[in-house]
Amino acid sequence: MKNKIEIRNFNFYYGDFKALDDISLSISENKITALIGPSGCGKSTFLRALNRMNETIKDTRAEGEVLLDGDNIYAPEVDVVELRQKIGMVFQRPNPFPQSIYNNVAFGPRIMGLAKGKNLDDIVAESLQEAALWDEVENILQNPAQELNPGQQQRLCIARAIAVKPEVILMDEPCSALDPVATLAVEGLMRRLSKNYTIVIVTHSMQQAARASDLTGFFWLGELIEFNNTAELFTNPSKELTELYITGRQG
Amino acid sequence: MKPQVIQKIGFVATAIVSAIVVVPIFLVILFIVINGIQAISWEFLTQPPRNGMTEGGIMPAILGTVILTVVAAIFAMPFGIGSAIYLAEYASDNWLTRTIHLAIVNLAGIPSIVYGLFGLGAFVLFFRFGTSILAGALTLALMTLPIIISTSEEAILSVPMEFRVVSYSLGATKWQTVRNQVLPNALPGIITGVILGLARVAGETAPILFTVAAFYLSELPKSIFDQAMALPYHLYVISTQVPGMPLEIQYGTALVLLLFVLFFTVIAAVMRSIMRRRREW
Repeated sequence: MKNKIEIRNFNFYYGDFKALDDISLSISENKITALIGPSGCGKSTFLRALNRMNETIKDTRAEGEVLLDGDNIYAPEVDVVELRQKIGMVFQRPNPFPQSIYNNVAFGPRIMGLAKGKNLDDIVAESLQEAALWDEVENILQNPAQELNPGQQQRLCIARAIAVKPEVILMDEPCSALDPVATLAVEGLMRRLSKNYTIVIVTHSMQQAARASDLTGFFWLGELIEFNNTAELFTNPSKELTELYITGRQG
Repeated sequence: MKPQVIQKIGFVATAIVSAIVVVPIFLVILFIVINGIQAISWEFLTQPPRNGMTEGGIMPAILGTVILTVVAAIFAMPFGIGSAIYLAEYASDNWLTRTIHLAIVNLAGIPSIVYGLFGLGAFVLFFRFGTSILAGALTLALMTLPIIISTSEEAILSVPMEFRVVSYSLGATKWQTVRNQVLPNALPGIITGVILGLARVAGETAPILFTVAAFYLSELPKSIFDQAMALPYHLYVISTQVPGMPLEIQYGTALVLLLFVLFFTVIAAVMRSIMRRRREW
């Protein structure tokens, strides 16, 4: 099992507040890694550290290393724009651009200069197929994305992310705004996508982590308490705090 | 007293106050329309003045104001919108930026005669453009800038942060994000600002008084270095400077100027409603 991302002794600060404390963890290639923990435990901050999205917030600071295929993404020579093309992101609230379905997916390839005309059409179609949305939108590609239901919108956001051909997809509570049926659809989609992509998902739902992930990390007050394969972590946690949290007695 | 009674009194009081404000405005407009409408004819709109301006039309003045407004827009838009983008997206929040903001707000409140004198000093004399369409349009452009900058900046800032974040997460640069996500969404607001800015200055007399406006020209301007007649100044001239001027022509000219400004305002209102309908975030 190859490690796609290795995080070594990573600290993160919002001003003087230390939000992540000495995190070390390996993300396996083509697996789904779930990050769980109570609100404010640092799991979302950690996720956003992996594509340096935290830098869009003022007065933040990172220490330590995040190695993507062995190269530190925090090294000074790294182009953050290129980095984000390799590590895509799906957000909590479905947030398509107020444009057509087609243009939403085409935005990334267009700005990267990946394709035009017929080739762009192909990339849009492939991305929508990969995101299991193609059959529903095939004939309405020019309609506003806002006409789709929330579940479809979130799959559109996934299609938009994979259209730039990333290697890793980060998902920040992607199902928290979706109903159970749409949630299951996204989880099934994640499973299929993990054949080609490395997926890291932050989730509030322990059932979701248990159902849909291969490995799970449990965060508590900015620290990584336990990291193990999902079945092991949920059935036989090694730390007392983990057990208390997953059984709902602490949280 | 019962709360319902107090509420009634409140409604009635505010209704009366707004009537006191609105009714005179309507009366003024009505008065101008009634007195001016008989002057409006094809000849009035398309012919130059004749016989010491007491006959004929006001076409050169209409044309002059249209040209001045268009040239002012050409100068004001790139500078105004560019500054707004810089201030909203790039400028960091420090004392310099705050000072610039304060200056812009204050510029909007400067009396128009000050702009006129500045235009005379800067464009007519210093840059040697002479009394010309160029000097007048630049002065008007300067006067629209505070309005264009503040409305455009507001429109840009009202685009949700979320779209920018998503755009960055897809590997877009800051400029690609501004160009492809922020500006298209802010555009209706920006256009509204530009139009309102132009509407504000199209009817101004003071800024063009020393910089471009001519009392009477027998020929139309041939380039932007020529003088031109303009509606607001023409109205001032025929109302105060020409003895024996028929009232009808004065009211007719006022009506045309009113309609000219109204035209801008209606476009701005339409743009705003389009914007509101399109906004789905």
